[in-house]
Amino acid sequence: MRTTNQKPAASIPDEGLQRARQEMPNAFLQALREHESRVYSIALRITGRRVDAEELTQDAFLQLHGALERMVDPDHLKRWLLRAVVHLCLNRLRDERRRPKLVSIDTLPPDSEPPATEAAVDPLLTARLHQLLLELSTEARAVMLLRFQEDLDPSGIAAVLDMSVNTVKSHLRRSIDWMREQCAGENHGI
Amino acid sequence: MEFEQQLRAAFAPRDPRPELRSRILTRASIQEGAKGKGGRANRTIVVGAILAFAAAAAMVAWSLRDESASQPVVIAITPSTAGPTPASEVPQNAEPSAPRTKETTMASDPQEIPPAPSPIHILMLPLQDDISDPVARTAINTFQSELAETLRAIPELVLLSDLKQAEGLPSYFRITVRQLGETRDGITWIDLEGGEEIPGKRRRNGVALSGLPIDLASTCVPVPEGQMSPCPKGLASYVSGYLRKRLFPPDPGQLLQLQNQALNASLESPRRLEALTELAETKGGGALREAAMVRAAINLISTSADPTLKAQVWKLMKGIRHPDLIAPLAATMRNEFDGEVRLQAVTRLQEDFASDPAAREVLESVAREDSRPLVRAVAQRALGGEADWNQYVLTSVKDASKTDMERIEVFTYFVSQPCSMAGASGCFSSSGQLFRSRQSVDDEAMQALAGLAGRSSEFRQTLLNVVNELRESDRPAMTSLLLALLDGATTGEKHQLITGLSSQHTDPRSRAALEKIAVEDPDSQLRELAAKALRDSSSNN
Repeated sequence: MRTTNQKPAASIPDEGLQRARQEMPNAFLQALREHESRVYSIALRITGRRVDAEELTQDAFLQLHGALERMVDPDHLKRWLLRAVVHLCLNRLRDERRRPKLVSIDTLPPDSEPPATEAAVDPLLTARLHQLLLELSTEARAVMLLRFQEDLDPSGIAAVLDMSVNTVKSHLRRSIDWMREQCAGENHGI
Repeated sequence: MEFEQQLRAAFAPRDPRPELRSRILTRASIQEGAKGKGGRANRTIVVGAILAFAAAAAMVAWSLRDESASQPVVIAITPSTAGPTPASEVPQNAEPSAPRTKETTMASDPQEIPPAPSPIHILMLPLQDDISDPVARTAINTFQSELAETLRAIPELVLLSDLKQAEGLPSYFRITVRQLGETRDGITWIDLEGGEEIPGKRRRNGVALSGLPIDLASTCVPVPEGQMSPCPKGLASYVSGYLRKRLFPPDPGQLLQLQNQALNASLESPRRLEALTELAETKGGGALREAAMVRAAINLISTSADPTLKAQVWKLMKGIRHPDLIAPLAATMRNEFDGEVRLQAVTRLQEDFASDPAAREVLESVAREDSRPLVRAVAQRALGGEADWNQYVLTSVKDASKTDMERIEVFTYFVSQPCSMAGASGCFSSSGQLFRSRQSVDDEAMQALAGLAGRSSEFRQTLLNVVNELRESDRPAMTSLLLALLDGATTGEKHQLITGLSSQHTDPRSRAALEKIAVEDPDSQLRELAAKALRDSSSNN
């Protein structure tokens, strides 16, 4: 479902912030507040395009909005969201026409992430790792993000991605080795 | 650093643009509306409602942002020779019933106002969607041209032609337009986002408008201020006004004019209230926090005999927390005959001044002595905490010795005044939260609400909102409430109720109601929806 192609709904709740708060399930607002960054980051890093990432983040949360009553607990909700956004991203990238494409920076705002502010993080290495991630297969990208962004263990990743644990481990090992190898010749202190 | 640690640091989650949250909330609200009501109603009403809700959603998103990011933009007003009304023009009988202090006099010296951040730079991005429909592309391009023209006409605004021009600026505002849905019946629907870009900062202030219609065939006829016309020029004018008010730094001249209007005691009270309302709605709402505006509000309350106006002014003062307000609030609680004015005043004391010793003294007195039970209960809410308040609400709803309207009044107030101290023990920020807490609510209360459902259309709507938030399944008392709401429900309300009834799988009353709709309802969409709910219910069982 592409939400950007949705026709405006024929009927909308009444105006006012108070009303908006009342009509929007509180659990949805809380989920949005808690998980927006992680969902968006996964989408951005898998697709490599902010426009796609924003669209897919919207799609994931709209799916959640429709499925909210089925959520059992916060952990279930989080895993559900991760699964939703990863699969949305993978589906998107399977469509060749939607692969990341280069655009002129004169006409579009940059899609790159803002540099990390933490002192211990090497901004050049961070940028390089983001770039290398985009060179991995889409499944490997998802595995790496679930491991290093979400800190899921291989069994958790396997559950989200519908993969065997061994496949997850294999992706992790090969991706880490490859990325380390790529950075080894560069002056990142690795 | 270990390589894996580097990976963790590199892949730490990043915040998206704040506008994204607005968009999600807007879309979710559209989904909610479509789910709840369906059908295609009068387009004008729909557009207005979409716009209003988009604004509300943007405000929700705004309020959900990190505290550090939600600092209001500094109000940029340049003092001019046409300053606020001199003190001599303000009647000296302000606050007759409140002890007058040096701070609470109506002196309205020219205010200390920071200089305007002039000029305001705006970058309107070119259309970036891959739109193949020539009508849509033409419509959006025409609208963008009109918007650019309108913005150019505002003296302090500078339109940038590309991103390069924004380099080196301390901040600028970016406007993006995207198509929403397909062009049908000659109307192109768009989303518009505006955000402030501050280099080096991740958080940006933003607004989102969703579901704006562009109709190239529409002739531009004058519409009242604040309303929009679907012709490109009219829509551009509306959007420009909206952005001017909600996104860009306030227009110093307009702010000053409104402040003068609010201070001018020779004007009729409704016109002064109008000015205060406008100031409250201006970006950040900071204009109303000015000491002079607080004094203007106090003066208006103390000189007006209209209880509706006075109640409205106290409502506007929500969150202002200026110490000068405590004395007139106390005076209102002592001297005001109108219960609604006292209710709004005690709500201000409870929400904004509960920790102030002088205010607490007033609240203690009100909790003991006020003639209106709800006013006493709100005062007690500040003194006794949320658990007592929640209990009071539920007890009141069930209390057969109270009149129906008293019970409705308590519940309606409860729903409209959620606890503002999120995270505090027993603090429920919404009715749904309270009702999900099984310890707090019982079937008797739910049945009582069902019994009250038919008393007024406003209360029916209140309950529908609550029901939407509850989403409880397989609870007989909930079925009773849903069935009570179904009696005499409109088509839109039935849409909402079918969803609720479908989650009451095991209750035969729910099934019977759905079957009746599926067979007998004159609306084919409703019949289909009910039939689908029955099929889903069967497969779940």
